[in-house]
Amino acid sequence: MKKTVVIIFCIIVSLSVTGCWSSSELNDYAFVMGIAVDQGSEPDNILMTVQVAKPSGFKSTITGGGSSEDAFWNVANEGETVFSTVRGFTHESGRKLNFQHNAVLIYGYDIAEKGIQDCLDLFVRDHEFRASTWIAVAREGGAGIFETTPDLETIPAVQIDKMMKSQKYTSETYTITLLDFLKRLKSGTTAPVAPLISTSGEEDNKIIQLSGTGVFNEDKLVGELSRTETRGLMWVEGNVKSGIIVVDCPCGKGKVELEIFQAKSKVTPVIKDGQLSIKVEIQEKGNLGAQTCDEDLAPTEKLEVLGESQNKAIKAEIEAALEKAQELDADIFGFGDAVYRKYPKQWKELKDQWGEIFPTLEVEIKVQSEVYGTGSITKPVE
Amino acid sequence: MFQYFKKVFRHLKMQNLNQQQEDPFAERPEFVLSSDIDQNLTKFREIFGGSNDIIIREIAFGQDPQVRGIIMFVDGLVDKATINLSIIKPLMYDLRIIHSEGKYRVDIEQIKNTLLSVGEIKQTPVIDQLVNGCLSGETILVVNGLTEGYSISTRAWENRGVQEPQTESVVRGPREGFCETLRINTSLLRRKIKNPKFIMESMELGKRTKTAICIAYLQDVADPALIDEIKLRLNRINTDSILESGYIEQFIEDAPYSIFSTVANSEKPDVIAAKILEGRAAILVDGTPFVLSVPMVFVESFQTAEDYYSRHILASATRMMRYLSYILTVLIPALYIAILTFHQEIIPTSLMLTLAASEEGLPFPSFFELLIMMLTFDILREAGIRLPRPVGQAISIVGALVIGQAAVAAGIVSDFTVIVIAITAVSSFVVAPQSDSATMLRYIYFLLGGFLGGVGITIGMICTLVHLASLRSFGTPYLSPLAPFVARDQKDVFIRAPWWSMGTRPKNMGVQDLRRQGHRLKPEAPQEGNKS
Repeated sequence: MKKTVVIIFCIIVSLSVTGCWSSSELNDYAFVMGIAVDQGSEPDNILMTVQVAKPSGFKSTITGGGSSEDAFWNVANEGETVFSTVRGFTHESGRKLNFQHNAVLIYGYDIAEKGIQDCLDLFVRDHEFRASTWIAVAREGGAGIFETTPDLETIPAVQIDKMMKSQKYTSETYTITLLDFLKRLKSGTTAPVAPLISTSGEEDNKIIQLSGTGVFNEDKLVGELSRTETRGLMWVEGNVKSGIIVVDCPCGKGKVELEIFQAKSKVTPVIKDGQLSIKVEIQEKGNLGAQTCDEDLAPTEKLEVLGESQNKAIKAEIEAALEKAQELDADIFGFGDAVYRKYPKQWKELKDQWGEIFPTLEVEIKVQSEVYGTGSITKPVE
Repeated sequence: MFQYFKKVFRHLKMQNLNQQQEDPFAERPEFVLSSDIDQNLTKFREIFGGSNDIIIREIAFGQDPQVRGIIMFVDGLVDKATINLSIIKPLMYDLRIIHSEGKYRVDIEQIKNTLLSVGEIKQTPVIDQLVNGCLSGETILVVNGLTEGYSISTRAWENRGVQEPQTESVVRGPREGFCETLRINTSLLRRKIKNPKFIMESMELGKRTKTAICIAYLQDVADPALIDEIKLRLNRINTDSILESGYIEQFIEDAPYSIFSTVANSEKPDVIAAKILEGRAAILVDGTPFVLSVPMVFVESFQTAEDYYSRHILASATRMMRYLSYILTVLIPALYIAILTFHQEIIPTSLMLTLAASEEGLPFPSFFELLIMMLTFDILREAGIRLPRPVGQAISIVGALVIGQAAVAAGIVSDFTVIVIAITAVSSFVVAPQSDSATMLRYIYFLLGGFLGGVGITIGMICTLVHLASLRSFGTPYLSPLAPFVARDQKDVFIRAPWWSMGTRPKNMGVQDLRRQGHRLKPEAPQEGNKS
């Protein structure tokens, strides 16, 4: 009898001491939606700005209370190291920061040029961060991005998240998650890339913009790709999901816009007579999206002609990207990894000289594309 | 320690045995009628005491010599017209006429055969049997000089009649329900199954209540071992009262401490008939419209009569929805609390923001918030059932207002909590036969989820499954035909296959006659050139 009472007592006590466990209420947490890491006031310091979702402001927007309260709260903290800075936020925020729903990680331009290795480890190591967080580099300070007022979303970080997801419709910005960024960083030869983000517009009415892609060498930002160059990179990787290619009309006047439907790529390293070269094959299928001329483009011969110009356009994009990459000596395409996979033995020697090999690497580009549809109509609208 | 318990246990057992030996209610076969009517009369008066509903009437009949007799019956349990016209009149009037005309003489011993125009008459010298017969509505006739009394069946009493049952209502299907009188209930079953192999064996249980029990089964279908086991368990019952079939259920069930019931019950004759036809046995108890059926399997709770009457496609979909409802009503509060307080990372971001907004500024931890609402709902439900119907409606209006509006408006609970409780409450009514297990499981899972999160719920689910798999009902595994898996019987588990394809009875109950209908019964279009 005594024993039972003791056992029951133990169970009740152990179950009611929930404080020590990881149970906690939603309103005990401050949910971080975005993090920006910038150069601090001292050379060794970092300035971290977090964007926290503010439920009370959110409530007024969903119930339509008419309150103009912001649904987010930006708070900054400066420190020498990342983790201590993160924990340091308790001095400013009554609620513990929770990073489980963090969507974006933005680095300031200056800290990206200095190297981001030091401020990356925690975001990978800690269990609260997600590997699917978007990485971006801000042209100005990262903190400035969070100061904008998005028009469609309530929180700037959520706006960035949606923007990243919608880039597949143009394939002109290379969006990258923390996991993919890390993979590139870890490979040793492949250069990490990250989209560049900036603000534009008036002081009170700034909007967020994605503009090109930043190229890293190891962990340091070394250069930029333009939008077309970015798509050149994505062609090689086979990442192009959709987008518009503008070519001249075969008739000589006006333009034809082709919508990308499907794209595949194949990268094959070839070692011939001790000479390494890369063969890139692209297969693409497109659709006639719009035209400005009044030529009837529906006949098969015409579509074939269009396919030819499409081939050229794609090839040009890839060549532009390749030129830029070789200029920066940054293997953004992951050719090194492809060589490693095909020639693991030879790679051991090549690896150390990759910095010298890549800028002069011979790349053969073969594009095979077709235009197979004309949309809902065949003849142009007159 | 164990030794001590064993000793105590054995001691108690012995006491039980001793008590069984000196049973004051057992019939005493040695206690018989004497041939002297006055002695018998004194005995009966002694036994019945002064109960004013027991009528003891002395009569004299015949001439030359005049014979005395006693007629005894319980007022209200008998059909007086039968007594007057078929017992008293023939004895006192017809017999006199026959005698006076002197055509032939009727022997006193032949009264039963020639004079009493009643269907069922039993003859016995044992006084206790006569007394019991009298108390259950028979009329007792004792004649001077005879050492055997007649127990004449004249049962007739007021009853509710066959009405539509309050539980288990259907849109399509028979609307009659069992009532409180055993004989009417057996007749309802007999009307469904007109087969001489349909056996109804009767018993009497309860030493003081002498409640009539009836075991109904199909002799050539049901497993004989099952019937023996039922009789064995029923005979073990040594209680003084059986007022409802629930008494018997608790005496014969396999797992008395389980939250899952292993004996099914129904108020509808068509449901019980269907179960009997599948090879189960039914136990009918006098005085209650709830008829038990054994063995019971878990999936039986999700089958309703209407599944079999409506067309199979919608019936299957509805049945799957019933499983879903059961899972929802058991798990939703637990999952909600576990995700909200332990696993915020698995909520989609936009939903998380909405949730956080609705939780903002609430004074209680979500655990207590949800617990309060769950308790409120159960209190309201109980109040709604127990109160007189008009008041019950008022209660539900107050409850709906309190839960749905005021609590949210006052900022005590979040609107999400109300939604969660509402879904839980609505889906708890879908699977009525498992409603008690669902209620218990809901609270258990809720505590586990609230204290241990997803790990707790997983532990709870594993324990529940292990427990379910360990249960048996009269030899049939409770989870069958899912575990042990019988492929052929899946036709009536998650889906209800069309009738023409359900050729066999469920195998899990060990039926003697597995096939219930012929082959190739699927309706087909008439063949070309084969028009008749």
